Amino acid sequence: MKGLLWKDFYMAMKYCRMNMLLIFIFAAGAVFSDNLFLLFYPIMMAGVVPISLISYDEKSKWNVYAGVFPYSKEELVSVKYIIALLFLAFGTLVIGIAMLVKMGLSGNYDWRSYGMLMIVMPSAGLVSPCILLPSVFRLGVEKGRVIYYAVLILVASLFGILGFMEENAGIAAAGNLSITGIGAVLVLLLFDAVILAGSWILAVRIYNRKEI
Amino acid sequence: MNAIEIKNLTKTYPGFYLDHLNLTLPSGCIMGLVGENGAGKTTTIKLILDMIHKDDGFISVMGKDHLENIRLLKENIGVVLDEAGFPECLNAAEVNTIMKNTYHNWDTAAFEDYLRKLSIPREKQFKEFSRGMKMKLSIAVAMSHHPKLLILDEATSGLDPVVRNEVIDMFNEFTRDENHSILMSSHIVSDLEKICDYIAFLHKGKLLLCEEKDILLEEYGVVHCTCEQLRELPPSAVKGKKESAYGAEAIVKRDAVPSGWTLSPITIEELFVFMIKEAE
Repeated sequence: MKGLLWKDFYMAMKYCRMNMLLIFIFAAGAVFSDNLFLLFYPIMMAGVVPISLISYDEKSKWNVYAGVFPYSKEELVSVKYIIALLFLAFGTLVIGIAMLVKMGLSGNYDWRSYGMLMIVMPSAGLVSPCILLPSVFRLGVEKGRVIYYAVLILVASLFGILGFMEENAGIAAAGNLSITGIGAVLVLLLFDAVILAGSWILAVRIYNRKEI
Repeated sequence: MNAIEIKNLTKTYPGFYLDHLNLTLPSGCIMGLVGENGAGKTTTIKLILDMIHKDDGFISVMGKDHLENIRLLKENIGVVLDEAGFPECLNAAEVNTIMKNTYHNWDTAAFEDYLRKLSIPREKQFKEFSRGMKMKLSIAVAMSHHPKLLILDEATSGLDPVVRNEVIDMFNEFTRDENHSILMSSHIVSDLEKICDYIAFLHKGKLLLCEEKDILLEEYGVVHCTCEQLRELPPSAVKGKKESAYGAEAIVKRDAVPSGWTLSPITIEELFVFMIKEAE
C-alpha cells in the first residue's frame, strides 16, 4: 500500500499542479466574495484528483501492470479513496485559512458558522468521489467521464445557485443551510461515513470482478 | 517441485477459447511459450497471475494453489509484460522508491546495478524512454526483488540485438540457481531457442506440443527434395510440408524416415511455422 501511495503522490505532484493552483486562486477569491461556489470549487477540485490519477493510470496502462505486483485488489481501490480524503483535507485546510483571513479582514469572528463550514464543505466534497470512483472502476475513465461531467455540472450548478441566493449573507450562509447544533454535525458525519463505506465496498466488489 | 503446474485450464472470451491447457515447468528450467498473436500466451500468463479469472482448471505456482496467497506468491515472482506500464511522469529513481515500499525483498543496490548494466538513466522521465528502454526498466524491476520465478511476456521485443543478447545472458545467469525458473513468451523464436529447456507451442488456445527443446531438435529434421520424392515418404513421418514449383521442403520425424534420406537439422522456428500451418 505504501508503494501505491508513493506512486500516486508523485503523480499528483506532477499532474495535478493546476488543480492545486486553482484551489489557491478560488480560495483567494472567496476571501473577497460571498459566493459559496468560490468556497466549494477548491473542495470539488480536490475531490476529483483521484479520478484524474486513474485517467493517467489508464493512459500509461498502469491499471494492467499493477496486477503483476503484490498489491491486493482492496489496496488498489483503497489508495484512490485515501488520495481523495487527503486532497479533501488539503482543500478544506486552504479554504479554512481563506475564511480566517476573511474574518480577520472584516473583524466578524463568527466561529459557529466557521465550524459548520469546515464540516459542510468536505462532506459535500466527499459526494463526488464517492459517486465517481465506483463508476470509473466499473466503466473506466473514458466512459465514466459522462457521469463525471454530470456530477460536476450538477454540484457546480447547485453551489452556483446557492451562491447567488446567499450573495449577501457572507459566511453565515453556510450556517444557514439548516445545519445547526451538534446533532446536525453528527448526522453529517454519519452521512460521510455511510457514503464513504458504501462507495468503497461497491468499488471493491466491482474491482474484484474486473479482469485486467 | 514444479515452478508452475497447469491442469485443464480453460478460459473463454468472445472468439477465443483456451482449451484445457496442461503445462508443467519444473524448477530450475526455462520454458518458452510460442504462438501466433491471439494464441493464448498472454491469457495464460494473466491467468497464472490472477489478473483474469479462469473458467475451470488448476494452477499451482511453486507448489501452492496460485489463489491460496497470491500476494505472497507475487513477492517471489518477477513479471515483465509486453508493455511496461509505469506512469509516464515517473523516473527510475522514483520507481525505486515505489518498489522499495512494494516488495519486502526489494534490493536497491541490485536495482541500481541493473540500471547501470542496462544503461537506464535514473532521472529521465518514463515518457522520454524508447520502447526498448521501457522494457529494460521493466526487466530491472522484475529482477531486483530476488524473485524465484520470472514470467516474461514478450520481454525481449523492442530491444536491439546487442541488448537482447545481454538480457538473455542475464536470464541465463538467473537460472543458474536451481530454484529459479522462467516462463517466457516471445515472437522471437530464436531467443527462445537460445535459452529454453522446454518449448510449448500454443495455437488458437490449444497446446500443440510441449517438449524438451533438445528432444525436439533431435526428433525432427528437415527434408529438401522434389515433390515426387516427398510422396515416397511414409505419411506418418511428415509433420509439415511446403511444396512449390522448385521442389518441396518437409518437417519429418527422424525415426520414421527410411534410411538413405538426407536430413538437415531443424530450428524451433521452422518447426513452429510448419506445425501451425499443418494445424490449420
